[in-house]
Amino acid sequence: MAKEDLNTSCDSSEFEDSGLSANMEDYMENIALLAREKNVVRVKDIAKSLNIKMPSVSAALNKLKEKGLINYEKYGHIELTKKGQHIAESVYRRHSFLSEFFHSILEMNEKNANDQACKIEHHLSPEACTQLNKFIEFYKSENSSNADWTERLSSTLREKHLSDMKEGDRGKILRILGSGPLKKRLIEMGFRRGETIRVVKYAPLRDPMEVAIKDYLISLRVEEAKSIIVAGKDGQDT
Amino acid sequence: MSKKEIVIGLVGNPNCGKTTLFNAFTGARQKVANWGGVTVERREGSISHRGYRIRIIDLPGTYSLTSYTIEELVTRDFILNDKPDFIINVADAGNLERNLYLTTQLVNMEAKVILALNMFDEAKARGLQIDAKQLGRLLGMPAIPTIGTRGEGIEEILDTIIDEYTSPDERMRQITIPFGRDIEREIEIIQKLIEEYSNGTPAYPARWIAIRLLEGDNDVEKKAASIATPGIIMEQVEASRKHIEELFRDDIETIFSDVRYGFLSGAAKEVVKKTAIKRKDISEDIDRVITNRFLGFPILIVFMWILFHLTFSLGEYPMQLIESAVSWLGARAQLILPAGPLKDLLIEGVIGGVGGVIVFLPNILILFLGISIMEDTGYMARSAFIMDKIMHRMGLHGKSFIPLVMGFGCNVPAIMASRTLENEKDRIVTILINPFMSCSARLPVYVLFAGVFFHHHAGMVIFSLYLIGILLAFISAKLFNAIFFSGESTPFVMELPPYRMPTLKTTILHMWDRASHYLRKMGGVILAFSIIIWVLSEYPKSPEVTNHYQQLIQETQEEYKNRIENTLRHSPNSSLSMTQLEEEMGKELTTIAMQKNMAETRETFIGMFGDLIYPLIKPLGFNWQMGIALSTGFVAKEVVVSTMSVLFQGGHQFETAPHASEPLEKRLKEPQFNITPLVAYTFMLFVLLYVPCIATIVVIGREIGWQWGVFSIFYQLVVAWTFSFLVYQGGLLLGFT
Repeated sequence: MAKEDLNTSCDSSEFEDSGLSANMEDYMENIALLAREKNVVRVKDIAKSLNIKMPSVSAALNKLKEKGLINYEKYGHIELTKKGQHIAESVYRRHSFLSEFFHSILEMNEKNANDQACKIEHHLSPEACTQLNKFIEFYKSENSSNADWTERLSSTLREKHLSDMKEGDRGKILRILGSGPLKKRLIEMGFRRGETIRVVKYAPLRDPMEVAIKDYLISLRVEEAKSIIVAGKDGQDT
Repeated sequence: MSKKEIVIGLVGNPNCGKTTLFNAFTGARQKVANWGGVTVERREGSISHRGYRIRIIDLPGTYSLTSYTIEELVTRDFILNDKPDFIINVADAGNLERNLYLTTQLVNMEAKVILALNMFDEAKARGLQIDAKQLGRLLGMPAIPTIGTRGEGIEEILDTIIDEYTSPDERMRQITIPFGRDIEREIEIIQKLIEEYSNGTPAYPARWIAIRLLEGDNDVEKKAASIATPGIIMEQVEASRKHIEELFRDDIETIFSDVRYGFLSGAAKEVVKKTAIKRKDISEDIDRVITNRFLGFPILIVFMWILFHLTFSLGEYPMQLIESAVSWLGARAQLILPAGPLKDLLIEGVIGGVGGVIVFLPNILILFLGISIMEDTGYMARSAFIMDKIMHRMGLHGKSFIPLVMGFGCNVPAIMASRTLENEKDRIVTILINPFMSCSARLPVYVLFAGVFFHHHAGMVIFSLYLIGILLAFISAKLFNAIFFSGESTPFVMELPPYRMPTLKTTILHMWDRASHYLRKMGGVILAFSIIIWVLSEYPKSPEVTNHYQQLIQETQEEYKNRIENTLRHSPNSSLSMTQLEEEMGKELTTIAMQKNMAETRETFIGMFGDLIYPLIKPLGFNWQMGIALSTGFVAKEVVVSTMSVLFQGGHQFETAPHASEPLEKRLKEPQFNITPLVAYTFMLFVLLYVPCIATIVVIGREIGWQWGVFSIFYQLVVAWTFSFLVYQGGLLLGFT
């Protein structure tokens, strides 16, 4: 729900510098999120969700209180001030558009996209945020009008080496890199463009791997699987 | 009607049941295995059908006919040069698209193909309905459903062959796999050039040459060079290839394979109907357990352990039976035959020699039963899958594992099985280390020595030898890789065939195949060598030595006679000293008899050789009999035991010695031979490591060149001597005996 709420307008003030350290930004973001989930936010909630010890949390909260960003009494509830609310929303906005960028445009899975967003969100300048946001908006509108290039981009981004797939993953063979005996052998054994391939399992020592093409099983070394480019997502999609 | 001969080549992918079909055709006893490329040799069989003699050549299993492996080259050259009347292309009906990839290449080569849609029943069970007639029409060849295991479809194929041979169907064989207008144009240009520049008709189909040249086939380039002016053609090929690659924005290999597969998937769509229920193949589920991350290795180890235990523990019962039968035979012969050189030859040479080896037949039977079950179920390929990482680290290939395991049976077929390794480097290394895999012929030596000197720990001792062999094999592989080859490795890509229940018939056939091989080898080489060794150990006779000892014996007897008489005279009542004297005499006479035997044998040819190499093996703690046994073991390791049973005798009450009819096990322990457990272990180690038998050397020479055969002899001897020396001298230092 947050995205719609937060990304309605596009003026540059949206991505102002909070003037806080990365650490403090995390606290602000977290308090805002917890406040949305629950009615009251306590120190132990923050400690739990950030996985930080309670005394450290208290210390940080005192700092934020000094800056006038939160209202906080010892053993009491925590509330964001108006100023604090503003900053927290800005931080969260950055996070959510970054994770969206990684997930729906760069085709990363949701968890990894989230983790990456958390890591870089504190280091982007307002300008970088603004420009990136423009790009995302442009991509979205192009994508919804079925532009050819977004299609091609996303299929390129979905490309993987067969060796990067996990047990149970499926994909379509796009091409085989290189030349010479390995490529020849792969082609003869049915590794043809467009064929669906499924990773059955890895050997006990994680190498070689067993894959299924059509109804038969083939084993190949992970090193060799690197030269097979497939399109596919995690899990069971065909 | 004169008996006309029709020549047929059998071609197909690995694991398509080609070998089973070959057996169904010819009734030949041949190995049927689930593992890729067991039929690396050319096997032939012939049958009569409707007044024709049909010769069938079983060609190696290949996925394609590019020149990339020996198998492919062999198959291709057979088709091109021997020009068989027909090719039976065996295809797994359940896996048409991939299997027919090879067929498209056969069509290009303009071979007269008859398609056998094999394992038709399995395909049906999996819910595939195949319209064979329609497929035949599409490919321009007769397509006939077959079931190799039940011999179904054989008659129809034979009938079709003879029908086509007597009255060729003009509508057939008109199909080419179309490459599309743009590519066809280029093919045609090159084809024309080839036809133009070769004198008369080209030796190979011009269209095929054109396609192969475009695909960059080095072997065909060489072939083309011999039939036409290569320069102009190759220039055109380069230009055409460039043109095609630019046009399709891809490399030529991919473009051509796309075309072939496109054609095939079109054909498959037209002729294959999938019915609703598709029985799930259980292979994947079995793999989930058998090659499981945690269970994979334990299961492999358990299987190997079971194989071992069955071979040695279960094999012991029939062994004892055979042993007593042999000694009974020896005793009978002793009674029946008239005295003379022939009697000695029969009892000591023949019964003693061959009998000493035949007792190990049960071991070999069980071992090969296990190996053949592993192959037929499909577990062998899985073991390669599990082992590849380790093998790869040793500079080997997962596929090396099977030849190495086979080596435990016999190094000769194992080395031949190494042909499945595509890369020369992998093949050479796998072959060179194979002799370290303790073959079953060495087992008699271990069983004998471990049994006599280690009793309850015999199993442990033998197992340790196998382990040392494996360890040295890996170290040697590393060494060879470092010294002779640089670090590149070949594609591992390998099919994991579906698990199948082995049929009793094929398993027993395999077992018998190996056992009869062992017996034939024994009957021939071993019997011959037992006799030769016996002769060499009896001749030349040395009358002076014999006379000298006879005299010595007489003198001793007389001396004691005198002393006894003396004693009787001086103190007639002391019966105690009388018995003492008699005992003393017995001991002395025994010693003399022992010396006599030794001296006589030392004068023989074999004694001379034993003396010659004795200084070399003395630091290993061996006696000269062991030296001789080892020298004869060069011919075949089985002979080591039979040599010993000839040489390790004497030392009993002279003239009444029971000779070979007393088991070797008892004789070995006699103190005169000076064999301690440490010596016994060192000897087994030497037998494990030194020169493989002459047959192995011959096979190595034939497979990878004689320089490697000679290298192998030296390498093994050096390794064997060095390790035996270290173990023996080290053992002495540590206070072992």
